[in-house]
Amino acid sequence: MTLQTTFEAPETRILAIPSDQAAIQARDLDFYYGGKQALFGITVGFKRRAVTALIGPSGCGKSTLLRTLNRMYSLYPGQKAEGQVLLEGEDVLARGADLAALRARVGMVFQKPTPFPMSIHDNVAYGVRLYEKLSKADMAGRVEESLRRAALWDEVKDKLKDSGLGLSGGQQQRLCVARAIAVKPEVLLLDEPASALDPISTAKLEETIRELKSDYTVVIVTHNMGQAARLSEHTGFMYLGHMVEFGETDQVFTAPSTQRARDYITGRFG
Amino acid sequence: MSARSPSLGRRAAQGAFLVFCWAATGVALMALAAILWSLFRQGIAGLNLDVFTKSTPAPGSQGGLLNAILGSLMMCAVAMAGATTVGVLAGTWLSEFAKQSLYGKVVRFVNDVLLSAPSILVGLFIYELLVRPAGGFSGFAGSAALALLAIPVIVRTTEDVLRLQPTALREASIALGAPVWRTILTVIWKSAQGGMLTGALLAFARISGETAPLLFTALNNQFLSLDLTKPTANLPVVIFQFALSAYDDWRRLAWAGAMLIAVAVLAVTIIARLATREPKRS
Amino acid sequence: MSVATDTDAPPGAAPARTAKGVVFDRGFEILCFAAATLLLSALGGLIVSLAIGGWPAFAKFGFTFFVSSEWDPVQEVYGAAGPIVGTLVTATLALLFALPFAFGVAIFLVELCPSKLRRPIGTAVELLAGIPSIVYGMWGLFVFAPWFAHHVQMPIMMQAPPGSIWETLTAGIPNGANILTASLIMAIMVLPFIAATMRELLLSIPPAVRESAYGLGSNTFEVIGQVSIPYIRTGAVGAVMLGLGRALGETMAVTFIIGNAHGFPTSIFASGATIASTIANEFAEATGALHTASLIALGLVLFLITFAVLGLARLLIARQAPS
Repeated sequence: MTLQTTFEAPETRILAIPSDQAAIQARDLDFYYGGKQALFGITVGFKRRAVTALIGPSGCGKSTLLRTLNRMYSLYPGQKAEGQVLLEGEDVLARGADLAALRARVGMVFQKPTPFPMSIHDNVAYGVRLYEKLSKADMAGRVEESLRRAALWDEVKDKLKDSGLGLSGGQQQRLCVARAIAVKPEVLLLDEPASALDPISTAKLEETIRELKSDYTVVIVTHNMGQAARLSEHTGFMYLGHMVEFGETDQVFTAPSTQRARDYITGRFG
Repeated sequence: MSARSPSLGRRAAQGAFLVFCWAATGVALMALAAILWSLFRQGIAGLNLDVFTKSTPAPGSQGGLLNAILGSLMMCAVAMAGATTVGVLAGTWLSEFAKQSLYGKVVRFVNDVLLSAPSILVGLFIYELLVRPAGGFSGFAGSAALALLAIPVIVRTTEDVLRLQPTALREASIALGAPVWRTILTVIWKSAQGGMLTGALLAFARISGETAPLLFTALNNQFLSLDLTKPTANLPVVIFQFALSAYDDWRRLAWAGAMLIAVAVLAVTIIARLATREPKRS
Repeated sequence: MSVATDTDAPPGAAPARTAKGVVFDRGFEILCFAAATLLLSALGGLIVSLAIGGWPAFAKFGFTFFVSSEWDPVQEVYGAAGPIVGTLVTATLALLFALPFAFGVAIFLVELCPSKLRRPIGTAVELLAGIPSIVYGMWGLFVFAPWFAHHVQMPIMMQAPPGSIWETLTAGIPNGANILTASLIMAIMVLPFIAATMRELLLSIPPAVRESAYGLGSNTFEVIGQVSIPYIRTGAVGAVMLGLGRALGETMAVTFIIGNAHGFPTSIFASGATIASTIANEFAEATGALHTASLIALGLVLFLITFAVLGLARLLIARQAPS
């Protein structure tokens, strides 16, 4: 693996992921909520088929960065991003980009479980139906495959026709993961996916995420540093809208190069 | 004034106040009981099979309310179909697209005004808009007046329940690449359907007892007719005319009709309330 | 720019990536927008059609239309003062009667009601609001008015000393169909509306505010009088105005029971008319173009009155509960 290291300003240290290894990358990315700037010149790459974690105190911009990657912010007038976000080399911030197509390629799972008010089967099939016309049997196969990958199949295989709202919180969250991967995205964005879950559900979800990295590029925002350390290959530490430190997870957690990251990881603030 | 035991004056004021609150509630409940008692006593006395099988009679002859019941049902159905379409779409616009725009605020205010505008004025408006140009009263004009009364109720409840749906639910669907319209139709509306149904039921309850706007839109029709382009019989107007008539038979029919309407309206109201309280799990 | 190497997509990724129906997004928004605009044009149309329809009356009678109480379809002379005053008097009386009771009911439901009874009594009050107005009208005319005439109106009229002001104020036909009974029936009708809004307002008071007053040793009466009412004052005025708005526009119940006499009411036991009852009674059988125009002009006056009252009410309620 040829990863080159660059030292920029003294307070930041960003490990550059080569373009040909990054599924998605941000370049000089600024972000504004109305007049308020929330991201400052973020340049970062997310390695293909690996898990990258984003950590940092509340309001540091990690969720904002995530919402830029699939242009979720475009739903809200007044929010805008400047710079580049390249998905396999294609600038998704470009005017006229097909947002629906982009979002099909970049899946997202939210903080709180968001099952749709329909059956478990239909929840998983919802996104697939938007793009593909599958026969009933093919669809059933796709649903089963997705639920298996999300480690939920055994728990729900006998009640696929039941409402997704009837599942427990942890099951609902894994259902959302299954729903996101059913459309076969290239990148999967997870926005604090375990923050509303109990420890057992969290462990199951982490197991699921670990399985996913063989096929997907996963970016996970988390408050839980142990989770970041357990799951990810790379970790980015953000602070006040800046990417302060980005590197291999082991290095970031055991020997952070920047003072801020050191303070945060050793628990001096945040 | 002793700090330990309240003064006599304080205790007396407190006592009188509590008694008044109990009494006020008692009076309100007694009014309800008195109204329902007269309604059912007179209404049941006027009820027989003819009410449902015969049309409104000429003075002095036997008859029923069949044409009025049918006319009311038809007009309400047409009105609700139109009102639900317009109301749900407008409520969706307010909740999903208007955000804090000035135009959104104006529409919201206009809806509030329409919500409490006197229903008889809506009747006048529809008369000027549809009856006068068309040269005659019609069931469709009645439906239009009723729809205009139902729309604001539906807009209001639709906007309110859609706003209660979590943002994450919208984003979750968008994040799968779903277009906004599909997200609203298949996820947001579906998730809010209980509340929206309640709104529609309340709107239905409101219009099914309305009399004033029908007096000069649908007017009345002594005969059984399914043609909404002609004047159309309806329960409220028949009740109004028969109640103020000098014939005992007609008055009996008026009471029976009033009871039918009241029972329908109260039943719908109660169902709507129960529907909102039901835990959301299918 | 980086070198794009998108040949390395995940295995089995779906190739066709253009979602079905994205093109409908704009269309759907426009459809919703059109529905919202329809509301706006409905209100605009209502105002314009009343103004146009009523114009001949305003043009013919000018300002006299508002101050004259002569309403004579035979002579084709129309003055709206009688119905306008009738409307304002009945609505105000109804509100005065309903207010204390509505307030009592609201406080009962929030503060005093045993929790087991709260729901049934709350529902019963809601049902009172749900009864169609024509039913109130029939009950008022056939049940309440005769009872009232016999047990209240007659005794009061008997008591009035001949020649006194008292006698003038209570003069009327002893059949119970008069301004006072119409107001009483309307009071029963608006009571649940005011009570429901008051109840919402009382429930919106933060528990800590009331508890700290109780903690200082105040009793229920004092907490409500000194803490709750001042706290909800603005909103409560708004709730009352909303009730007034309803009473002003109420049609059928009043039409049944007010006796339908034009002219200036001088006694609470006199027959009268409101704007709404006049329109309801005469519109379908109006005797000429000017008669119709005058009735529509009356409608415009009613709209302007209720619009002002409701606008004020909304303003006050919005100020109380900033959402």
